[in-house]
Amino acid sequence: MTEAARPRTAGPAAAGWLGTADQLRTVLMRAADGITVQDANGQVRFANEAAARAMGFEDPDELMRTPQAELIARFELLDASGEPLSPHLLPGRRLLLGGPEEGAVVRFRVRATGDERWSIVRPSAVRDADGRIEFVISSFQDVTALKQSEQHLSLLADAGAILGGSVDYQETLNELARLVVSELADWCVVDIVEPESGVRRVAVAHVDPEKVRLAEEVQRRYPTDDTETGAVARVLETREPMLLREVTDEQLAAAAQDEEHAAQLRVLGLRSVLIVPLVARDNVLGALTLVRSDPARAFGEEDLPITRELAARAAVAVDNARLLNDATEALRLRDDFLAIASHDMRTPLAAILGYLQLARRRLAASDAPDLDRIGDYLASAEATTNRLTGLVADLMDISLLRSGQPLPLDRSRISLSELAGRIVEQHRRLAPDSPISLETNADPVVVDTDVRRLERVLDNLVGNAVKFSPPGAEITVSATAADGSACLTVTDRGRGIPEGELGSIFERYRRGSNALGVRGTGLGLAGSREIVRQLGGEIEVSSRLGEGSTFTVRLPLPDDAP
Amino acid sequence: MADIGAYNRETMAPPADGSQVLIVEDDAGLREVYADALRAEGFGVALASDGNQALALLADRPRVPCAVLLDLRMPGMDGWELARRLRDDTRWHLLPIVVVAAHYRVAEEARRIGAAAWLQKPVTLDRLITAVRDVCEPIASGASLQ
Repeated sequence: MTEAARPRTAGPAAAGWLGTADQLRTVLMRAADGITVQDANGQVRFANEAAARAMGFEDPDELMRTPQAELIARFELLDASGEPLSPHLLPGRRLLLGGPEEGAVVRFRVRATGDERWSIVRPSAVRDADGRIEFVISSFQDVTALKQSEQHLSLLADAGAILGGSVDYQETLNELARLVVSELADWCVVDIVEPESGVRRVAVAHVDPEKVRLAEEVQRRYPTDDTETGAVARVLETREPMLLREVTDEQLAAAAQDEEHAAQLRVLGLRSVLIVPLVARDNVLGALTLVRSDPARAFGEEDLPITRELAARAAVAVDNARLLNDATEALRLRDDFLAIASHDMRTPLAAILGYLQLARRRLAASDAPDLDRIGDYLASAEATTNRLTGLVADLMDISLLRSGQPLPLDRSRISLSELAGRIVEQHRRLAPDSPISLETNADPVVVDTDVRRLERVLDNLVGNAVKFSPPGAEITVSATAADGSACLTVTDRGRGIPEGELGSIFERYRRGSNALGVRGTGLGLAGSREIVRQLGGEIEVSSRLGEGSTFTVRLPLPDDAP
Repeated sequence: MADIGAYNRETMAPPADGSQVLIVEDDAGLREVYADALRAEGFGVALASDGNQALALLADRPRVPCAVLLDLRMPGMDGWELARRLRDDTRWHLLPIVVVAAHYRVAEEARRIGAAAWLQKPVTLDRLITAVRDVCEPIASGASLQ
């Protein structure tokens, strides 16, 4: 700025205000940027408050009293790319050693606290009349926050590329974990809540693959499931992040099963833990766990935003992958359904076509056709048409049930024992090798229900019992009233259902339950349960491996039941 | 619409010798339709609702049928299994099979089990009779099955 450009009024006033050494000193001390002055030997002669803070000192005097070598030893110096930086290349010292008057980005880690900071350092030399440097003024601006957000943005961009790269979320989460351990943590673990099988650990990464092997070894020797009982379970339940700033030796020892386990946990380096839930469309899909091993680099509140953002993106990726899977599966099911439905309609159609052709042939064959015979054919065609109509209605029901819509029920008062008797009779004819016994109360049990739908359910249960029983093994069907409910039970002496599968055999769309049965029932256990529920009842199963299973349908008795 | 496989000849005289056709079909109505249609053409019929019954019928009778009309999907022993058993048994391995099924890849399935002909449900009686004649007539006119 030239003399002429200086504002006339402000000039003298400012000069007047900054006239005293005290005032100048205050301005320097309080400046937001750090300012230091080094003498020709490199010793710090002046430091302001910001400079002291940036270098981890309580106040500038303490900084100035510290000898130069000791001062340098307090920091680990790094250049912008993270490589170790010689103290001689710090801009101020470089200038003192005859280097250019040039600023630089300096990254340094305060050894005592582990705190990592970034500064832009700009030196300028003050020279005597002979051009020798009298002292160097360095100003440095803390750009740690800026640098971190730059790193976070780049991390998020990389994460976005990984997560958007594939619909196989197992693989993408593994890649994400590897990315996270290169940038944000020493360990990264991803747990996913599977809709049917519970929590599954899909990714475990550490910067050192050896550690991952050790972790697997420890898990094998000391199986613990923190996805069910531990911190991860709590995060999945509360949907809130959990920060364990510092895991102490005592805490590790308390979590360990014995001394050796504790020692191994210490080797794994579980020192500071941050767990964030993966939430998408209000569903908890899993949890992202980050661990740091260096207590000096413990997690803090400041690590939450980036971790949450990563978790949110991972959750959306998992959610999308699942939606795509579901949609693909639904299309496959629909195609299967159409194929089987058309298959199942061809048989009655073939019969109808056959009866009509037989009738026509008889009419054409002679002048005095056998009208009784022709009448029989037409009656059969009519009966088969009714059967086909029933099949179409069943297919419609299955379609409604699969899309979660209510069935248009047609209730009437019926005798449960008569209904059971009809179905048992049908199955006796169809499967003469399976003895089916029927047990009923002496008093008829009546219910107000949709007879066709309930028949379908019982037909399905008895059909399953026949299918899963060895030839000759007895099947028992009962229709009784007990505890204020009407009960239909079907008991087989087949191979039984493993305990682990009992909870899920009524699940929708389980493989195997989706195909229409041999006789074209197609309802499956999922459809049966849904029908029973819509009829106001419940269906349950009990089973022992090797001994057989009992399915029980409970329906409300009418209020005015006898 | 129904389609006919290997054979498609137009008209033939009814067989004079009362050649017998084994019908294996789980749908009782369809069994009767096939039976009536074939009887009207002079064939004898034996009826089975699944593979087990078919094997029992074959074992009981001294006379070998000239053809098996075979459905594929059936409760009990299905058509695939019956075809395998027939092929593996030297008494029946030359017995011609005419697959009559609703399966949407019936041609492929019929080829796989080594059937002589195939028809997809719903089938017209003309085609059914033509297919049966095609496999039965060479036998009736002297070609030996065994």
